[in-house]
Amino acid sequence: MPGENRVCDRRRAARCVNAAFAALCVFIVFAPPAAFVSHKLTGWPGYRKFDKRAERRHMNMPPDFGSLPAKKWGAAVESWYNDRFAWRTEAVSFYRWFLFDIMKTHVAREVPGLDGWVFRHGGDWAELDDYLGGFELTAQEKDNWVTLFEGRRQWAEAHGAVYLQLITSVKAQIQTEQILPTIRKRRGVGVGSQIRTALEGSPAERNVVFLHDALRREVEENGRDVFFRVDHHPNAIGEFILYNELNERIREFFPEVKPIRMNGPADEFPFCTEDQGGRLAVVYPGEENVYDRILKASKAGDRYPYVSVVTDRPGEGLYVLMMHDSFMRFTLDSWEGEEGNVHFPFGAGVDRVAAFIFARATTGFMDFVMSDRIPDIIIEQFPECRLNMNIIGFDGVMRSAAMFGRGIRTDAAGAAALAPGGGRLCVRAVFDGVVSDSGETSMAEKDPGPIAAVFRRGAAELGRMNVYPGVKRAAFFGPVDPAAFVSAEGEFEVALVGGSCSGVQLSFSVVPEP
Amino acid sequence: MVFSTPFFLTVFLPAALAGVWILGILAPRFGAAGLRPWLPANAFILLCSLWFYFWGEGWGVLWLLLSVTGNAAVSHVMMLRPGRAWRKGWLSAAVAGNLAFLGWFKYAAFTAGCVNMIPGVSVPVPEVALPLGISFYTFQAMSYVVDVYRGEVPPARNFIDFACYVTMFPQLVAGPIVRYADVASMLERRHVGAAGVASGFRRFLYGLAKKVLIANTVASMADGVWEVIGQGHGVYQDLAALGLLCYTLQIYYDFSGYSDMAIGLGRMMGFEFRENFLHPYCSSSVREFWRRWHISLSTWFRDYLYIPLGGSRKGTVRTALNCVTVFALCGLWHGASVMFVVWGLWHGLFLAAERFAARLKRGADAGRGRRAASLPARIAGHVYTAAVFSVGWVLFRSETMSGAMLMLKSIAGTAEVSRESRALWLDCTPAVIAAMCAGVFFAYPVVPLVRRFLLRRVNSAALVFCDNAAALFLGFMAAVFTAGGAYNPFLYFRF
Repeated sequence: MPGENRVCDRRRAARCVNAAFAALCVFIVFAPPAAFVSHKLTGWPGYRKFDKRAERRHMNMPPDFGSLPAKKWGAAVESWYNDRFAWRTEAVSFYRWFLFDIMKTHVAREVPGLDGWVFRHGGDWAELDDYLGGFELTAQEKDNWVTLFEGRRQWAEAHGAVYLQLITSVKAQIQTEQILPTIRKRRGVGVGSQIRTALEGSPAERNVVFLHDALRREVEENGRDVFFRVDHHPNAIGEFILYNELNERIREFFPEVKPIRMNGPADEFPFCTEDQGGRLAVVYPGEENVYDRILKASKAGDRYPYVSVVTDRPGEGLYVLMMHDSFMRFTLDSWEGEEGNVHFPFGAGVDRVAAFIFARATTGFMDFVMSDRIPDIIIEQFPECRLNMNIIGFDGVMRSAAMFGRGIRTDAAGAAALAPGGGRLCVRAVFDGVVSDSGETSMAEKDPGPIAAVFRRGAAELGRMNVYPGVKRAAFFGPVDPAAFVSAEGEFEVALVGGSCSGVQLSFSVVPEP
Repeated sequence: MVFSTPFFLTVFLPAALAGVWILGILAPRFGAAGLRPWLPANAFILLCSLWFYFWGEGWGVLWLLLSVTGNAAVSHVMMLRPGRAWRKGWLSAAVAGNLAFLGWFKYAAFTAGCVNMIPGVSVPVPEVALPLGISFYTFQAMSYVVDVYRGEVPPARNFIDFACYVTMFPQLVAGPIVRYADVASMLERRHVGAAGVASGFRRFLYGLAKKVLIANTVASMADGVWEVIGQGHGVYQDLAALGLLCYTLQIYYDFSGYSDMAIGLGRMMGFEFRENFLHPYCSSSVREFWRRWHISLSTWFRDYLYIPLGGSRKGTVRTALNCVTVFALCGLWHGASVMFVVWGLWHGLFLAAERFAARLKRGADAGRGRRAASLPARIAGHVYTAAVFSVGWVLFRSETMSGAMLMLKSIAGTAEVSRESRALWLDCTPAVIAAMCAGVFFAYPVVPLVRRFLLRRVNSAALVFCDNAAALFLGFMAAVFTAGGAYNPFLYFRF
């Protein structure tokens, strides 16, 4: 029957299709192990090998079964194998392309933007999370930051230095036009804005420099990108703007400092050459053409010394102590300009720069580096997204220093006349030439151990803190409740135990009762 | 070992298939040599399964072997004498042993924790590592012993067949719970042909795609929402709703994808496992939902607990009580946590209520004959069921009752919202949206309907070709995503 034949033919055809499919599947299943084995045995280059440069890590090593419990053997072998299976690199490339470029979905915490821009989210660099307003600081957290900045300002002032805190904006807060519209429309209040608002009216407001406005102005008014497209750092133009802004702030305190160029557009620098750079994004490994244009300057010295004195010209110019991260790498560049060798970013008037990359301004660290010579300017820089993380350097010294700064100044007589309920006493002691009993004059040679600075009135000890040998040291005490000293007799004094100094100046302030 | 890993797909699977197929081809020769034809293949599957289990559990494989050996021995001894008392005694011993085994590993710490909540009581909390898949293989072995006792299946003819049945790697750690009756004949003799292999691959690839392309993709959103909830913060209403939708899809596609892969792997080796999921989200009642969701577990509880308790034969109250008891235990089976019990009770109560309502309706409709539900009634039933299982998933996913309430409040828009949850919008990527759309679409039986429709109109070979091509494409994408999971670059955060 023709009908039956047709049905038979169709069934036969379906069986053939299934058989072909089964054969194809068998081939597909056995191809990777066959390729892997032949690659191992004969070196057959049938697929691209693990790209160390692209993934920025070494391949996982074969497992050491002896040191692992049996339960972890499988995971260890898989971890080793996952870097080696056949066509891994090709599959990963396709995966990234499909997910990142086509589906506009983040890969390895890198979020696609418009026109090939890459942003980051999560982890240590939660710039888009912050852009969406994902970090709401509590009143206490905000107060902690303000107190820290005020404390640093007071502490630096006690040493005769100016404190500048640079808060560099991250890419998502500046290059907002390149963020995907679906994310852009949900913008919230970032941590930078929260801290900025909290700082308004604080004595430290002048010392904390938010670099957001200057960078954003460049994008809005001149339409120039100030960050790399596939990297989270500022590009040469961004660096130039940061340079200008930093110098402007320094000039507020030291007008004699003259930047090399105040208004010149960065791309007119005569001493820049074009180069490839700015490709820290991991979504494009192996794609050689995905680079940003970088304006490269001739430079002296290493780019990333961990402890370095960048410039040390003889003279009476300023000495700058700087703790920073890679956003301020330009501080370590020197540029050859018409003026000759110009040390960037500090123009004429700055003779010595001690820069510490990835260091943070903790009291202990500053005590150490300020042992021999007191800088004129202490600069700390960190990115805005750091404001959401643990506060570093917020210790008792900075708390006491901030309280001292918030109080109303008085003299020794006024302090002695303070009665219970009339406020609490804060004291600042500045020592010149502190020497330990064992003869050390600085912390540079060996660890001399602390010297105790004791604040007392008569027999009543009102406070105690450690100081170290050095050319100048500051100690802060309080707030002290007057009940602790109202019945004591004699003058307020601060004595060193375990060391001595060539002079000490005491200052007093009164803060209201809490 | 997980199916959706490069190692499984490119090392374990080819090795296992090669061995099984070669031994399958040689089966007639083994038969001619006086051996049972498929015994070597079964032994090979057993070895592969032990390797598979050892990979993730190390020497915990010995517990698995202990369970297998114990149950095989008891069922063997049970059949040595014909007396009912003898058999019942051994059955009791086997059930008690299995429950003690499961109880110690899975519930000892939980029970001790519960006891310690009584004021003035303090018992040491044992630190017991939970062996992988213990709930599945214990239930599977227990069902075998009970079936042997009931005379529904003959005891396995040899230890290898029985061990192969319990430990078979496709269903060892994530089900479905296979009954011995379903595979007993296949352990003896089976056929591995191109059609079965093609069908197996197709099913496996669809399962892999469900797991990798849908479940894993939407998981990021669901995990993000529950992470914020776990920290005690409320979530914006739209995000909470999306989070719940994502979790609803994740759990279905993850679990049913695994079941599909297990069924597919079984077919490649000549076994036919029963379906475990039948589009449960299109159900119009909770009862129907449980006929479509994790069928192997719900039928296990029905056959070995609900019916022995009296089922629905002992009046309305007793039926309701049985429902609630069975589902509370079903919840507990999923994990040693109060929330799983609450989840089970939640479903049990609705099931009991539905049975009660059905009985009332039967009484009211008596004499009017059975009528099909109208479309509005079906839609209303569907919405009701979706609400029940969705709230159920909130209970299932939350670690504490307060977390579950916070999530429900977030969905209702009455929770105090944390601004931190705004960052969750970053997880709502186009890929997640695409996976959600696909997930909702395929949760309904669209594909079977289309297939049935086309079968009447199109050349079956063309349809098979399209089916195979779709499976290949989805399998390719899933494999690429699986390989992408091995992409683990070092991120230069410091620089």
